This record gives sequence, C-alpha cells and structure tokens, in this order.
Amino acid sequence: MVATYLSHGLATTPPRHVHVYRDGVLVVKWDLENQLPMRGEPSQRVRSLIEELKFEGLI
Amino acid sequence: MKIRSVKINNRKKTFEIKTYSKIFSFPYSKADPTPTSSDPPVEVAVDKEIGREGFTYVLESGTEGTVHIEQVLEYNQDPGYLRDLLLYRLTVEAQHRVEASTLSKREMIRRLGTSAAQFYRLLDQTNYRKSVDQVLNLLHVLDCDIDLIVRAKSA
Repeated sequence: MVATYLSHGLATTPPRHVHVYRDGVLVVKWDLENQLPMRGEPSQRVRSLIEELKFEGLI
Repeated sequence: MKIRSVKINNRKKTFEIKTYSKIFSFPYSKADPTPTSSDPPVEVAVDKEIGREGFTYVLESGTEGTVHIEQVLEYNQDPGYLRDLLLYRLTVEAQHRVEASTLSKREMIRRLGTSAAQFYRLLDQTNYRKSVDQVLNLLHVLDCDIDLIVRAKSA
C-alpha cells in the first residue's frame, strides 16, 4: 500500500514536494519543482505514479 | 524525525507534539482544515501510515486533517531542518552550475583538491552528511559569487 503526503509548500519551504510511503516506510521525498529525489531513490513505478498524480492535478 | 505522541490543547489552540528529542507546538491556525472553536479537534493520533512522521486529527464535524512533522519543524524553525533545506537548495544550484560550466569535471576536482568520489557525493542532493562549507567551496570553484543575506524574519 502506498500513501502519499503532499507538502503544501508553506511560505519558507520551497521546493514543493511530496512524500511517498509504503507500509509506513518513506520510499521517497520527491521535489516536484526540480523533478529530483530529496531523500530516497524512487523506482520507475513510483516515478510514474507521481507523474500520474501530477497529470490528474492531484499534486 | 518520528513522533512519539501528540495531544490536543484547546486552551492554547495548539497541537503538542512530542518527538524522541524535543517537544514542539503547532497552532491550529496553521493546520488544514483549520480547527475552530465551533469545530474543534476531538481526536488526534500519530499516523502510522506515514511512518509516525505526522499526525492525523478529526474535527467535531468529522473532517480529517493530517500534519507532517516537516510542517511542525518549519513552523518551529528547527535548525537541523532548515540546514538540510539550505544544503539541498545549494546542491541543486551547484548541479545546474556544473552542467553549465565550461570547466571539465576533472578540473573542478583538481581545483577542489578532492577525490572524484567526494566530488560526486557533494553533487548528490540526497546526501545530507556533507557540510554547507563544502558546497560553498564547490560554488567558488565554479566562479560563483555567493552573497549571504541575513535579515530579520518578517511577521
């Protein structure tokens, strides 16, 4: 099971990013502005899931 | 950073968050959805789905909200968190500068007086074990002027 948590980018916290967890473990903290991992290394599947969420306008 | 416990303080209108090393507060006004006196939080728990790195609260109306520990750290201006953020931003900037530079990587490594492995560790934005100082050295090698601006925080 994958849970995502989107940081809404409070005033002083650029870049906008999303945390992806699987079974309570952080898979990746992904920088949505620079398209780079801030922590962890995402698999291709996680990358495409993030892309899908972006495409759907959910993040 | 993992959360050990979280409590509601309706008198101060804050969540009280206990981690393994510190205690933080997070005002209701910064949470989304925002708890109000007519719709106060009635339940709060550490969220295990996000690895105890956040908490979820339920308002009287049944609306749920989640707060991540990073929001709490940012609100409390945690020095460790702010340092990691600065390091990340400097590293991403250094990556762009390295790509745009006419210097070869071999020359950059030579000017830094370091090894290739250390150079690539410096350019790894997920590595938070390097120092800000080392990234500043790299930016200097890349012929960048770095201005440090210290200003009082606006309200």
